[in-house]
Amino acid sequence: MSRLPEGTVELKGVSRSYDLRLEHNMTLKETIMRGRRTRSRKVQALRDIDLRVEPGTALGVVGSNGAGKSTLLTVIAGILPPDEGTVRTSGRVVSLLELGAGFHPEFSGRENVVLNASIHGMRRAEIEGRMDEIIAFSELDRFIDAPVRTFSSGMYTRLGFAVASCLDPDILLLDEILAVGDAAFQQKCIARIAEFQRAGTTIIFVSHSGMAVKRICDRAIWLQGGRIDADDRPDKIIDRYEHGLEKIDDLFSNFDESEPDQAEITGVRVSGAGGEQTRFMSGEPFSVEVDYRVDGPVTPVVQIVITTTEGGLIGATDNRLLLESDPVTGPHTATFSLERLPLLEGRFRVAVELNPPAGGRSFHRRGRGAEFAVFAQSRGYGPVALPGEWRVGTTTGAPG
Amino acid sequence: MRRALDPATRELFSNLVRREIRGRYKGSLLGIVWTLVTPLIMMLAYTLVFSVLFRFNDGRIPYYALYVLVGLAIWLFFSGSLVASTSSLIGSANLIKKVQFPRAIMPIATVISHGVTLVAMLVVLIPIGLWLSPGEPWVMLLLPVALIPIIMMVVGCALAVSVLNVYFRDIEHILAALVLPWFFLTPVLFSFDTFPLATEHTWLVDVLTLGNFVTPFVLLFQNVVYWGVVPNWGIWLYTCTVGPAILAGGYLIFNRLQRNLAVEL
Repeated sequence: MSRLPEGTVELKGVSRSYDLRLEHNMTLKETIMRGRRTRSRKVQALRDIDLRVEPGTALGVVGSNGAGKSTLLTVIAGILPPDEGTVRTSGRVVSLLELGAGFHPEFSGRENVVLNASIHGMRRAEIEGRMDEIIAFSELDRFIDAPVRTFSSGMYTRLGFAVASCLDPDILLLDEILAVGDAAFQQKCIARIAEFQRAGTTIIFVSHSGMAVKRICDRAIWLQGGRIDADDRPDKIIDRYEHGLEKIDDLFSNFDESEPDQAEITGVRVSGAGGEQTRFMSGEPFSVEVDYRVDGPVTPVVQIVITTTEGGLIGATDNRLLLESDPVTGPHTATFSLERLPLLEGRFRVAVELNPPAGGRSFHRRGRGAEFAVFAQSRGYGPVALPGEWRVGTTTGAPG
Repeated sequence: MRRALDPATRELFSNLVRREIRGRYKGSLLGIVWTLVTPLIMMLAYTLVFSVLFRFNDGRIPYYALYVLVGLAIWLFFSGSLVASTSSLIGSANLIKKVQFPRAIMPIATVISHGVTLVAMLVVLIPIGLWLSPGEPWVMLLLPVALIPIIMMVVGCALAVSVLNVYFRDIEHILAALVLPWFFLTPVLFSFDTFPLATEHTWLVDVLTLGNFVTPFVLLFQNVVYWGVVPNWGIWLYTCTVGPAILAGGYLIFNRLQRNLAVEL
């Protein structure tokens, strides 16, 4: 095989899957009783990836959750071997998949700097020489000799990045590390990463932040379902990626305001227990009131569509079954109410449409009828609260 | 193995050993002194029970307390390393999932940190052994040679146990339950020479020697440090073949299973 120039990353036909374990034999007894059988689902995290990153390139990696971004980095870092294909890197690879990984809680900040830097392959003499620089970068000078268990998570992250900032890698792998810390420190991190780039370090940078990718990277790839979906200039990729996020929004792009015809929506309100409000706690009473006026001989069906502000559809409902038999002109109010709002944290939008019962062109629609925010204290994430119950027990007489 | 020799890896190694030792005693008043206090207390208790109360020792083991302490030094090095290495990979799960480095360093650092305890005990034992040993004092010169197969055996076991425990988490419980009976079947508190049954049933001695792979290593150590006798060729042959074999076996198991550590942890 030819020698790669220092700072090159080369992947050929790389695939990697992992088992999503539904039931894993963690003990010898289980293994002896059933053989090492596990009920699991294979998740193909990377499929046949070909990628070559030239020295000095800053490559941005974008994609939705589960697209394989983090797996790509762990495979390049050599933490996980690929199932198929080859991964070759040349030069010192430093992976910052998590800041402060391996900090020992009982050790002081200073001791952890030495330990952490040596985990990343730095020599003690080098570390000692740059200690002041590291401490200055972390802005922790007063606390550096306290055990890190006393640190706040922000301080922890700052120290983690400060160690990283003094490493001298040929290839730097960064996973979403800018998602933590305060804005000022994030700016400092981005500036430091840009410095690495100027110094000729190859950077592979996973981020959800289109801004950061545009600012730092000179090439970007878009991963989707474990494949490289696009490989282009960052601005193009980011535009496409952000456009992709809004794809669902297209469904409702024709859902904006229309000219009223025979019926008109005059008001849309979201209310809680105490009247009109725009901020809700998950699980609170919630209702949507639609005021409309009927001008012609029609009986409109009121439909409401709840989406996230990014356009993700949550649900739609209408009052088709409750229609009055004879058309009545004049003002009306339709109310849709929920005893317990089943949404989790996020910002949501209510779109309203007045439709003819037999279908066809709507009388009037309003794409942005009302907006509201939901806050949650419960566990779980995603737009919707799953109002279920968990039960855990030992499984007796399990199959197999 | 080229990576193991590069200076950065060596430094990581020494930093991890330091982390292990300091982590163990950080915040405790006596610190590293505990490494000596524990075996001393054990020695006092066993001497009291077996030598004074049960009069188990009929005088064929002179300085019984020293004999026990010598045996404990090597036994605690073995069992302590083994028990601690069960958690050496699991305890560093976070690190292993996020950073690439030679993973074998973890269990080996655990063994070395217990080796430090052994060295601390040897600092006490060697002069006393030279002074009281019933045999030839010059035999102590064999100690560095004798330690080589012992360390190989312990490192091999630690490598295997650390990685197997990731896949079968009850290895550590099995070990914890096994350590005490294993200890009593190893000639630490008694000697095969003074074994009441040994003269009538030599086969029993063979079973206890060959059925327990640690025994020859303990005998090797006791011969050199306590008895001051050059170990017989059988002990040398056994330890110098089984020691490297266990190391090789442990390394093979470790290498085979470590590939997917990051997902198994």
